[in-house]
Amino acid sequence: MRSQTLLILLVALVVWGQWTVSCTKVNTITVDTTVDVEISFSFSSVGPLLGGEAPVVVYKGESLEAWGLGFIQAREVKAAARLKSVLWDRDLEYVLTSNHFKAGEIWELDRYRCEYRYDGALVRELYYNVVVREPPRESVVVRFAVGRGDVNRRDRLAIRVSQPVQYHVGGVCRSLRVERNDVVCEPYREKNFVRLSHDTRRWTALRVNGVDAGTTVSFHGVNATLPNPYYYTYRNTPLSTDLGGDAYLRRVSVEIIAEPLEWGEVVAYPPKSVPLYITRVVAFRGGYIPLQPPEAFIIDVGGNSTWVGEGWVWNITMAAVAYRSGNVLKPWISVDIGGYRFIDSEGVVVLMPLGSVVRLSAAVLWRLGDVWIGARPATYLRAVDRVGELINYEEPGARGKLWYSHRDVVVVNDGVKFARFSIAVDKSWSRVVTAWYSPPDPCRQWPSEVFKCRSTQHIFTKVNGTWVGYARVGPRGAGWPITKINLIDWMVAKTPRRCGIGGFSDFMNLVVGDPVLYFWHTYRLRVWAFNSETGDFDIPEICEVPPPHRVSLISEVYGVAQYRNTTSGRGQHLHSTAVGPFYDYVYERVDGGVEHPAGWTDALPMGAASAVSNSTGPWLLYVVPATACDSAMCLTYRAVAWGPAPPPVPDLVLPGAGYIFLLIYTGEKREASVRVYVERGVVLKPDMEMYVLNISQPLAEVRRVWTPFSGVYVGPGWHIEYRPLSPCQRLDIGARPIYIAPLNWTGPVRVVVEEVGRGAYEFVVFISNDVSLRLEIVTPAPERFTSAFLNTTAYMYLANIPYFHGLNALGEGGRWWGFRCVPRGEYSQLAAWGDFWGVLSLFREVKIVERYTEPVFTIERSGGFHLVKVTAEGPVAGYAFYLRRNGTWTLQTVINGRCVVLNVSMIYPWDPVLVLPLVSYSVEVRNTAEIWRPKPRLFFKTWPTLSSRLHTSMVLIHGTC
Amino acid sequence: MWSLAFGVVSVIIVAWAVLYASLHTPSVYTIDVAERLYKAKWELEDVVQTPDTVVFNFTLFKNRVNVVWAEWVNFTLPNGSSLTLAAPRGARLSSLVKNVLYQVEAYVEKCIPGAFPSGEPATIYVVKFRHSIDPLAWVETYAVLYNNETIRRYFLFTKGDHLLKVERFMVYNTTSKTTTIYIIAPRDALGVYLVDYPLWIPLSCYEGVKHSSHS
Repeated sequence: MRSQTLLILLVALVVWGQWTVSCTKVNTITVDTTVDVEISFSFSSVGPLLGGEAPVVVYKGESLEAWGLGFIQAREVKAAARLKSVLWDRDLEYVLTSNHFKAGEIWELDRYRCEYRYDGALVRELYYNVVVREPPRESVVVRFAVGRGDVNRRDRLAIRVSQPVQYHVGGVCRSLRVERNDVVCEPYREKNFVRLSHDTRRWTALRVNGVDAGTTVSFHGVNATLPNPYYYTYRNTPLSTDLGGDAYLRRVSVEIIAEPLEWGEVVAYPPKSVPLYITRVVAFRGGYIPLQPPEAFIIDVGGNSTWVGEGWVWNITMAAVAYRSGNVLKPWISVDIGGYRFIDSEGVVVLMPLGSVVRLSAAVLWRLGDVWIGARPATYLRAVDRVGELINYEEPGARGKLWYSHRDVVVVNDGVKFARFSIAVDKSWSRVVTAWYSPPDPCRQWPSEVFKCRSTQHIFTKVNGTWVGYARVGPRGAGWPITKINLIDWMVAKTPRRCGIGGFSDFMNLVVGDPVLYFWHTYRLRVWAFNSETGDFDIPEICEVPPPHRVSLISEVYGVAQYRNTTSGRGQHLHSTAVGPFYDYVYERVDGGVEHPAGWTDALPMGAASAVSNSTGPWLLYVVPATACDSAMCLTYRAVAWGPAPPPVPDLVLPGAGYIFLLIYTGEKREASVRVYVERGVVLKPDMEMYVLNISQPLAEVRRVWTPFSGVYVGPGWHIEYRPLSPCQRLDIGARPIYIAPLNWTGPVRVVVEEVGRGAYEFVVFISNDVSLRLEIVTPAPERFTSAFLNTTAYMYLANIPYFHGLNALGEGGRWWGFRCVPRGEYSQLAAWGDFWGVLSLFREVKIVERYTEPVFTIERSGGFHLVKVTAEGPVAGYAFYLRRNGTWTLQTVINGRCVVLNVSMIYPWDPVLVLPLVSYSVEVRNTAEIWRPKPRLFFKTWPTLSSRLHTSMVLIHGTC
Repeated sequence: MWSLAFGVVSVIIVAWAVLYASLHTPSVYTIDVAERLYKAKWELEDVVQTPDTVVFNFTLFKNRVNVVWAEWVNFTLPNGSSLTLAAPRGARLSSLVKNVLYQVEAYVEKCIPGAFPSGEPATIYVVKFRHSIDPLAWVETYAVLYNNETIRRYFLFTKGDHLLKVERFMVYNTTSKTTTIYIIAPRDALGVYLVDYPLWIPLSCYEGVKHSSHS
């Protein structure tokens, strides 16, 4: 259409207003849009993983941090090797056809001015360009070729085109008209196009990375045969342009990623979720424990030996029970491929070209709510997948597609433990399914600690009001007393079993009903039977644990069909298992050796040292010492509770002392009202008045939403939010009353925690007056000696456990030392420093008997030297030697050792040596303490010395003896 | 013969000289103050243990010497029976052994409810104390706890009850000779002993100190 002058004059009158719009042609313009368009071509290729090399991974996922490590959360990953050399069966050709406006031609556009007027006044003015002439279109063909030996190829060339004019000039219209008081511009939309008109879509590789198609590759116990013919293809969309789709403006790129046609896959499954088990000490009557897996596992039992009639009788009075809580441990599986760690809760699939042989690592991580928990000791291959189906490793193992040994473990940290294994995929076996298991350890938590575990709990036994001795376990005279009960141990391993019957169980079989394999082996274990003559467990006995043992962990999968020991049902699967250190425990064998656990799954519980309860309810109860004030006698009340909280000794109470209760909830989230009742004791109020408690009147009621592992400190009529306290850390209670344990009572006191509408849980705390002191005594060796004194520290123990409470130490003549708290490991302990004489009163009165230790000098002569042996009686740790200098006794040297030999050649009669024995010892005291006090003694030499021009003495140490 | 006579005479002369010298030389007469003080205190033990010296009127108590001020209290035995017993509230004592005069006055001014730092409920005794000898750092205090084997006839407690060493603090007053002693005792203690060894002064807060006593 050759242009002719066109005048459009359209006036529109609007009924309701005075709007007029008019467009007038201004002029005609010409535009040349010729440019060079760059077409780039890239060809790259990947191939099978042939062991060792760094892979290329393709995934869709987000990063995630666990145990301080970076992971990628992805369910499916493609992994392949970048090719280094290749031989294709032909040259590969990729042809592009571009359809575009011819270069060098001009665009002609008519320019219009459109005016918007209101009541005749110009309001708005717009310009439009109407295309009246466009360049002719043409088609151009572009070829790219990849040679037969090319692994990669990059090409770049340019074609000259006229770009569509709308990308150069604004407001371009195909036509323009005024309609209903507005300008209608039909936009100009013509574009340049490109398409892949011919390509090599499928071809074959004759050789990849130096390996001919059809060859078998072996690596780390596995082998794979490269397919023959080894088809290649590309799966990505090769063409991309700057405008998207097939239209382009300035840039066109073609990218071909050549990959094998056929891929295999490796699947790694986590196990099923398991409930969290929490261990607590539960009291039983009559020795029968009416709990069994999967509701509860018995970790340990405690009890006492009582003299009944003519012999000792053993009574189980309590047991450490790992009970199923409402919380769930969720496993995640991570697969490490060439340093990329992929993780998912359902399973990770790694796709790789057929013919790949590769070494991977898998780890099972565990999660409790929002925290990652530990796993130990390692991750193991397991014969059960995540839906509870047995996996046959027999065949892939025999075919050399899977190779695994449980010894090949990479421990990264507490929570991440990788097991390494080898995988091969080829046409004969293109899918390798693996399942993994790592025993969860809920006491290690990341990134924050939600609950402080305790591994043991002290137990107290009491019969008929008197404390009885703890029974010992082991050979006579060499046994170890049961003074503590274990809270954390392997649940399956520690579950007591009746000798001669049944085998070991598999945790996942017991708890979630997974299938098992059977392991054939007779365990002959050493156990110690109760002796009614000694009251100890000192009679050696044999406990036979016959097969079958239920197992599901695999110790080895390898290429030869020599599996042993294990069967599944009627013997379809014969996985090798049972041998080797699956766990960090062994059993004592009758002949003196050790027995390892077979490959049963196991798990650790969360150890909670709570006051002993009669049930496995969700409440943990602790007593926390509380003092009424910090001064010597309390005229004004300012209560403070003392850490650690939760304390390692949750239930030990001193008569007449103040306490508050700590209540921690371990169940599922719920709202509940909880009342606490205490059987006996009094309440001290801030006005120093008191009232007596009884079991029918609640000490306090707490109504709140309980979340797992949340808690409250509870006192008479009040509660405050729980926060953990470290040893000796103070918690200010202020003017809230505290509970005072009964003064004239020792033994158990019942505490009832009632969940309103749900039932009550009974707890027992023990009141003990079994206070003993440990005196730690050290003589200081001051620079200038005036008189000998001792640094004595008295530490308090209750029932032989370090204990703290606000007790002042009283000495003779009205001297007193205010209470001090010292952290001792996980305990806090009461300590008093001073030099105690005659008597020390700290809960109990201790008489102090003085003994003196004085150096004894024995003269010896050896090879021309004058030697003097210095010894002393008592717990002497060393000696300090002083000489009279500048008017005072000045320290010359300090020597460690009970017996010291002094070279006295340089000691003159007119300048004697003062010898101060240094004592250093500790002694446990209940009634009378013998304290050794050092007494200094002068050493005079009365015989002449052969030669010396020095006239002042020198202390020369010859050695110790 | 001569020699014998000379010897006899010379012995007589020497003996006379020695005798004379010994009779006419001033000698040091040692006074064992510690022993006499001990004896003085020891003699007062009888005073605080006998009902004969007890007065029940505070004014009378303040105007006499070697008296024990007491108040009648009702004591309930564990078996339920009740006894009316004298609770000692103070003592004014004086004793002279040769040249050593020992005088002491101690009485309970107030009884305040308090607590041990451990939280155990306690009573704090505020005791007014005057003494002829300073200082008194060696005074010791014991709380008296009920012992069912003790026979109670007149006094609320005796030294046969359970004794528990307790803390005391002295507050000296610069403007008067009176010292205040604070003694802490368990809430259910029958009283305390203020010990200036060998003298044990019984003091009690049992049923509290009545106001009428100060009249």
